[in-house]
This record gives sequence, structure tokens and C-alpha cells, in this order.
Amino acid sequence: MSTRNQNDTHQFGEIITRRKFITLASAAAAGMAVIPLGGSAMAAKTEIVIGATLSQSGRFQGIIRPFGKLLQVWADGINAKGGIYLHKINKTLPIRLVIYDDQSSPPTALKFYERLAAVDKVDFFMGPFTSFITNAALQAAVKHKRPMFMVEANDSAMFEKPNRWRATGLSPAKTEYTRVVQLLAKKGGVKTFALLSRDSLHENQAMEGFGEMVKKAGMEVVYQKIAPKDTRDFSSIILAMKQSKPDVVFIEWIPPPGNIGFLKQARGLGLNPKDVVVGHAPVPVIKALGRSMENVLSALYFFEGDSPHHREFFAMCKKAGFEPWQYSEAGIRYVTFKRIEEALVTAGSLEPEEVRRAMWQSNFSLYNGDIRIKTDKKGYGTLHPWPSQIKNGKPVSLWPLSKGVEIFEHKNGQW
Amino acid sequence: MNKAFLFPLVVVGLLLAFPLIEMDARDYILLILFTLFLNIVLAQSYDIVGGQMGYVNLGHIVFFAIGAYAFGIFLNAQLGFVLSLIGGAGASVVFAALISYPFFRLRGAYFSLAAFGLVKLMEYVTINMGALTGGSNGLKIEAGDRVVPIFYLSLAVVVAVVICSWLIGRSQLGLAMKTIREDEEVARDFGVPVLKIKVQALLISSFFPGLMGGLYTWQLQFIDTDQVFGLKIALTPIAMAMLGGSGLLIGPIIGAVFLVGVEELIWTQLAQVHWTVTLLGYEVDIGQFAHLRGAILGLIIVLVGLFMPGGFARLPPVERMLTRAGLMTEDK
Amino acid sequence: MEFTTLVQVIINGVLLGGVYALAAFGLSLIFGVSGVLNLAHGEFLMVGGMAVFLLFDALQNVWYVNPFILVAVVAPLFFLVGLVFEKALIQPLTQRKEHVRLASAVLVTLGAALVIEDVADFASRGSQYEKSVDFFIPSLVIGEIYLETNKLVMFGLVLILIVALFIFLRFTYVGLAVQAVTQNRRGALLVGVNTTRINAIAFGIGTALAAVAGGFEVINSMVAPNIGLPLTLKYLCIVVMGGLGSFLGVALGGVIIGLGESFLGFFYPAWSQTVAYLLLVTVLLIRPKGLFGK
Repeated sequence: MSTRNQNDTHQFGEIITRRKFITLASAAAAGMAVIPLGGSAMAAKTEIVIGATLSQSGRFQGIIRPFGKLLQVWADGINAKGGIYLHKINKTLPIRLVIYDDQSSPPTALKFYERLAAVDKVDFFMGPFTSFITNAALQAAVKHKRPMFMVEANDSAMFEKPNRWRATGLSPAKTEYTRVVQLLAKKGGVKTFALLSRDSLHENQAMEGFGEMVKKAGMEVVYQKIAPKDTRDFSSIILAMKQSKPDVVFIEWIPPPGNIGFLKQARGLGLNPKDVVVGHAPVPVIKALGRSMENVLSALYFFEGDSPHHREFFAMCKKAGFEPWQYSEAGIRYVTFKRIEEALVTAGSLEPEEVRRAMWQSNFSLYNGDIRIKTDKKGYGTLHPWPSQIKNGKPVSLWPLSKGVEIFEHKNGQW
Repeated sequence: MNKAFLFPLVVVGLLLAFPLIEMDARDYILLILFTLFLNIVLAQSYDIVGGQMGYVNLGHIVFFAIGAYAFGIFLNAQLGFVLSLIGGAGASVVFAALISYPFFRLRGAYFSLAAFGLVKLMEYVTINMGALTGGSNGLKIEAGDRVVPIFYLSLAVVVAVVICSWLIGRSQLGLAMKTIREDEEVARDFGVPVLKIKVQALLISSFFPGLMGGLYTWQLQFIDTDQVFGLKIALTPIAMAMLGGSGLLIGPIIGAVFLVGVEELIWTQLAQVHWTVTLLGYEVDIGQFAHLRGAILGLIIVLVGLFMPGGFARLPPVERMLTRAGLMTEDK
Repeated sequence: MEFTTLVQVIINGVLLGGVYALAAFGLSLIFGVSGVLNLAHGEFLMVGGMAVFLLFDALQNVWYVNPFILVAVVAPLFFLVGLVFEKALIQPLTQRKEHVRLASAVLVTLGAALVIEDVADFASRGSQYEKSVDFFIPSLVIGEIYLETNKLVMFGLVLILIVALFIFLRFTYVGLAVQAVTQNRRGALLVGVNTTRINAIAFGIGTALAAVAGGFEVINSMVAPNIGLPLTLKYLCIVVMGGLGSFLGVALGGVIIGLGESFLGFFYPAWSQTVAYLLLVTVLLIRPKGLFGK
């Protein structure tokens, strides 16, 4: 208890407290010095400042990690041409990126988006990865009235309420596998489907959507379950699937740990469907299964082609140090880059309101007109992935559909 | 008035005045301070059971998580903010009451582990009760800008938990808790109503994280189980309490201030630095090392566990300083 | 439920439980001897798995090695790692008062877990985050029942290790000393057992077992830097449920949880991961010292 030191306190209390107060005050001042308190006054714009967080650590880093470089490659490319011409202020301004690591955590993202808006004074935001983190980040966008080009958040929870400060390039999560289902329906020869997803907001919706589309196409869902996120042993799920005798097995699991265990155990337990669809099959999955991945269906956020956009996208990935299929979500980033460029050109200024309006009006085609990027009334876009099939340890694009059906081969239970 | 109150009063006064300052970075700093307050509340309330009574409750975060979810559920049921917040804290106290009797049959490591297991158990229960909690779809509440009110409310919770912890330390309850920590058998033989004391301590320690959980949901507006049951959230406040000095009033505060301070003043800044140096022919980006912050944090925790089991506050020089400032309210 | 299905579910559960028990043995041994809850146990498992992966990956193009052999190579190394870890971090704690020891062991091992995870994470930059070895032997098929060969081999190894451990504990001086220390530390000290050395050996064995389990994980599924803590928690459930320090309890605990996950996985996969934690809490509430605890 304090009584013990009462005398000491009485004797030195005042002096010590004052001294401690000074120490504290100077420490606080030092702290403040480290945090830049205000950006320079923005009298005349000399650059376009874009803010974002990327999960450089935490559980999403495996998917997101190289995109910091990709963003820089894009900005460098634009700056090499002098920047983007804004007709209303009649100036060509270069891009400057401000990027923080949100550690895959919403509160951290909230903190950094607040900083991006208030301290770094960004002109607009690029959204983070996943709906939970994006929702936290969106608070700052609404509060500071800066538009957010959402990159990877397309779950319905984000779009229930209208919000004019955000829009995404992606179509709703439920439509994610539209083209994969189309391909399977067109190829024919499969009727029954078994579906499994990792228990999380995005994966569940993507799987549900897959099921609905399967039924709409006149095929049947014979098994549909959700597995807890920490599942490492799938043998019982596989056994139950096997008994439902599916022609196609579909697993939706990001990041990849679950896919690897599931596929390995499916192979070991004799689950030999006619086709296997793995929503996300990045390098670790392909490497872990080796030859067994042959003819597994998957989806990529781009497709092979030779349009100027294709060439630009492939060159950017190469500069960032990876092949597009290794981190196929790069395709989503690319569309975001194009949306930002188009919005800025249309807006012709950096006024948040005008950039925002341009973001909502985005309407342009990519890849020689193969897709049209548009924002719908709720804020969804039109981008969803294209089917691919692993051949010789690498995904081969199965698009356009007519060509895809020709290349596509059933796996026929050959692990 | 006791001089020992002067310092805390000055700090609280400064904090109260801070949001009035007009500056760009205000809300950013308020959010950082909210993280700090959150951790102080969790660490301090953990320490009521963990430090003063010696029961290492590795499942303390469950109270926070229940508060967070209950608040959101009540708020969405149109109960109003105040009622929901109290209801959230109430829910965690009720939960504490439910588990207290069975869990306090366990001792030492068994208690710690059962409580640790409870974190995962409750996480899965929460996920699988989708109708109530939204399951993996998360729980969403009305959006809004709440940085300033949350700052004041969480500061109030901090003050409340510290005062409560201080009062316990001075009370008969606190004394009984200490005897349980030192030797439960002897305490029982001398007529201390051991079970009653333990239950009381757990109920008090569950109230504050429950409140803070509500504020957390109010701030984040869209939560899922990863955010409120995560193992790192579960363990960091406990590490903070031990780091600062478990069983001392000032200990958890020192621990929380230190760890949050290191995160904000060193790592966040370092991550923004892009100095490239050539080392042995390799180009090394200094800023990259900010990503080793978890490792350095771990190293600090290891060193404290090894060389100063009493935490920072019990290091002789620090202790002398704290004593002179009148902040050492406990025996060593 | 058809009979063959039932058999298959049971086989899956037992095989799974065997691998659980293996890692949990190490944890139990460590707790029994030194009274320390090792929250870094899962990290050793993860690093063990990563070591197998890195060796396999490096050798792949030169010389194709069966990853099980690599597991055998890695295990002794981790015995040494365990020795050093114990000497440096655990030894200083053993003399402390019980509640202080519990708290400081939590600090030290949790801190170590964070260090190991973060360094593994940092080292994974620039390469793949999830690591898994491509190795497959076709399964044994008896009628409609599939026996995964990888898992059978693992289970066999687990049995051999358990028998060896049993023989070691029963018939060697060190083993008897380990048991003596587990039962009564002070008593063992009094009759001249070098408890310091015994602690270190127990820790070494425990760590080696974790690394072996990690090798199995990387063959059967995958490892990534962030799997350590959740796995530690599950193994702790097994150990505590069986009764701290009881080897029979651990084996039984592992199989019970394996079976539980297997059955629930078949009917209600959403609840399958809850089994371990639910059983832990239930068992402790009925028997406060676990199934076989004294």
C-alpha cells in the first residue's frame, strides 16, 4: 500500500512529479515529432496521391505480398509518361503511392486509412483485401469524403446499404464462378456436384452461388457443406462426398492450406470424380500435388490473349517479378488500375466529388472488348474470373468459351 | 489529497483535453490511443485474477468477445446504445458466473489450460450459432463516425478499471485473493471462503472487458470471430500485464504503454522507411525489418520471463522511481 | 450408416488420433518432467515440417529422397534444438514458485513461439507461404475400404515410437529417472537423480517428436508459419484431457479426439473442430485432473 512510501512522497513528491511531468511532456513531444502531424498545405496540386493498405503480414500475406511491387510498377509506368492529364486543371500530374501494412487486421486498417486521409492527404483510396478489412477502411473514406476504389471486396454484406463513396470492379461473390459453370454445362457429361467451402464470409457466398448456378443450368447438387476454417483432416468429409457419388467436386478455400489437405486426402481415399474444381489453385497447391493436379479445373482473374491490355498486364506482372498465374488476383489489381486511370481522365480533376462520380460512371472495355467494366446501381462491377485447367503443372486458360470447351479434358478420376 | 493522485490526474486531464486540439492527425492519434486503452483494460482486468489472485486465466479474452457480440446483438435489436453496452458487459458477467464454479475446481496449469481451451470452444460456438451471431458472415451494426465519443468512453473504462483494481488491492477481498495466490490450502485452513473469493474476483474481472468489447464493436462496426477470439488478441494483454509487472496496479499499464508505444513509434515508422543498403552484395531494404516486429516483441517477452519475472515495474531503478512518484501502490 | 462406412470412419479417426498422440506425447513428457507448459511446441512442429520441405525441395532435382527418410534425418537435429532450448530458456524457470513458474513459463514459451513464427514468416518472404511435399504412395484398398499408405506408415512409426518410448521409460536408467522426476521432483533429487540433465533430455525427446509430427503434416497436408499456436492448443487439449504427465492418457486422448473429429466430420463438419475443446472442458469439469491424472 502507498502508506509505506508516504514519507518519501511527501518529501519529494512535488519535485519528482514536476520532473516526471517534464520527462513525460518531452517524451510526448518526441513522439509527436515522429508522427507527421500535418501534410503540407495543398495550395496547388503537384501530384496524385493514392493511399492503400496491403496485408504484408498476417494470414493474407501469401496472396497479397507481391502486389506492393505491382502497384509501384503501375505508378512508375504512368509517371514515365509524365503522369495523367487532368483536363479541368490543364495539368499532367504524376502518381505517388502511400502504402501501409494492415497486418491482415481490420482495426489496423481503420487506423491507417484514417492516417492516409488526414495526415497523408491522399486524393483517393485503393481498397484492401477482404470485406472485413474493407468495411473498417470505408469508415475513413466516408468520414473524409474520399472515394474508395475497392479492390477485393464483393460480398453482399458490403453492399446492403447504399454508400456513394465506394465501388468495386468485381461482380458479386455469388457470381464468381459463372464462367466455370458455363464451361462445365457446355462441355456436358457431368450431372451431379459436391461442394465444400471454408467457413468464411466470402467462400461461403462463392460456393452458394456456384450451387445456384449449377441448379439453374439443370444440373444437381448432391453434397454441399461448410468446413470449419482450421480443418486439416478432410477424410470424413471426403467419405461423405464419395457416398453422394458426385461427377464434379468443388472446393473453395482461400488462402490455400485447406485445398492442399483436401486434395491430398481425396486422392488417398479414392474420391475419383469426373472433374475437380479448385477455386483457387496458386503455386503452393500445384506444387504440393504435382502430377495429380493434371486437368484440375480452376479460375484465373485473366485469360490468355494478345490484345494491348493483355500485353500491358503481362509486362507489368513480369516487372513485378511473377508470372500472372502465380498470383492471379493481380488481374483484379489491373482492372482497378484501369478504372482509376479512366476515372481520373473522365473527372479531369482531383476534386473528390468528381473522381467519385467518375468512379461510379466507369464504363469501358478491356481485352479487345471481351469484357466491359461497369459499375451497377449498388456499386458492384463486372469482373469475375475465367476458367482454366492445370496442364503440365501450369494453368491453361479455357477462354473464349468455344475454344475452352475444345481444350478442356475431363479429369476422369486420374490423380 | 495524496500526492500520488497528482500524476494520474494530470495524465487523465491531458487526455481529456487532447481531442479539443485542432489538428489533422487527431483522429489517427485517437485511434492509436483507443488501441492503448483497449489493451490497458484487458491487461488490468486480467490482472485482477491473474496477478492479484495468481490464477493465470489464459481465456480472459472470452469476456471481451462475449461483450463484443452481445453488444452488437442488443444494438441490432434496437435496445439503444447505453442498454446494449450495459447488456454486453452483463452478458460477460453472467457467462463468468456460469463458468466460475466448475472452472474453479481446477487448479494451476489445469485451470489455465481449460480456460485457454474455452477460447477456441466459444469461438466455434459463436461461429455455429449463425442465427444469433451471424456466424462467419460476421456481425454488422449501423455505420457512423464515432472516434471521439469512443475515445472518451474507453478512457472512462480505463479509469474505472484502474480505480476498481486499486480499491480491490486495498480491500479485504484483495487481501483474501493474495492469500489464495500465496497458498490456497493455508488460506482455506485459516477460514478464507476460497471459492466465494475466487468467484467474486472472476466476476469483477469479467465486467470491464465486456464493456470494452461493446466499444470495440461500436468502433469497428463489422466483426467476426477472428477479430475478437484471435489467439494473439487473447495472449497479448496477458503478456502486457506480466511484462509491466503482474500483481501491481501500475504493471499492466506500463506493459500496455510500452508495447503499444513500441508498435507505433518504432515499427509503424520503420515500415515507411525505404533505405536500401548494400550488404555483402545484397540489396537490403531496412524497412523490411519492420516485419520482424513480432519476433522482437517475442524476444522482449522471453527476456522478461527469464530475467525479470516481476516485470518492468519491479526492476530496482524503475521501482525506486515509481515509489518516489507514489505510484507503487503494492508491496513488491 | 453402412457397416463399411462405419469402419472407414473409425479407421480415419484412429489414424488421425495416432498422429495427434505423437505430437501430444512430446508435450506431455515436457510438462511431466519440468512442469512447464510449452506453448512453443506447435512451432517446433511447424519448423520440423519446414525443414523436411526445404530438404526435399533442395534435393528434388538432384536426388529423389523419400520424405520419411528426411523426417528421420531431421528428428535428431530437433533433439539437439530441444536440448539447447531447454538449457537456455526453461532451466532458469524450474526453481521458481509454482504460480510464478506457470506465469513465467507462459511468457517465455509464448515469446519463443512468437519469435519462431515471425522468423519463419520472414524467411518465407520471396518463396511460397504454404509448404507441402509432393509424395504419394497409392492406398491399400480392401473392398470399399481405403487405407492411406502414408498414414499407415505414420501410424506404424507412431506405434514403434510409443513402444520405444515405453521401453525407454521402463527399462533404462534415464527413462526411470524421467518417470521419477515426473512423479516427485524433490524425491528424485534426493535419491541422486540429476534432474537438470533429465529435464534437458525430456525436452529434447519432446521436441524431436514434435518435429516428426511436423514432417508427417508436411507429407499429409501442409505447414505454414501461422499453424503453430492453434496446433499447440489442440495438443494441449489432448494432454490435459488425458491427465498431465500420463502417457496412456495422451494416447487415449489423441484417439478419442481423432475419432470424435472423424464422426462429426461425417455428419456435421461444421462442428468437427469443436470436439477437442469441448472434450477438454467437459472432461476437466468431471475429472479436474484429466482422465488419468493423479
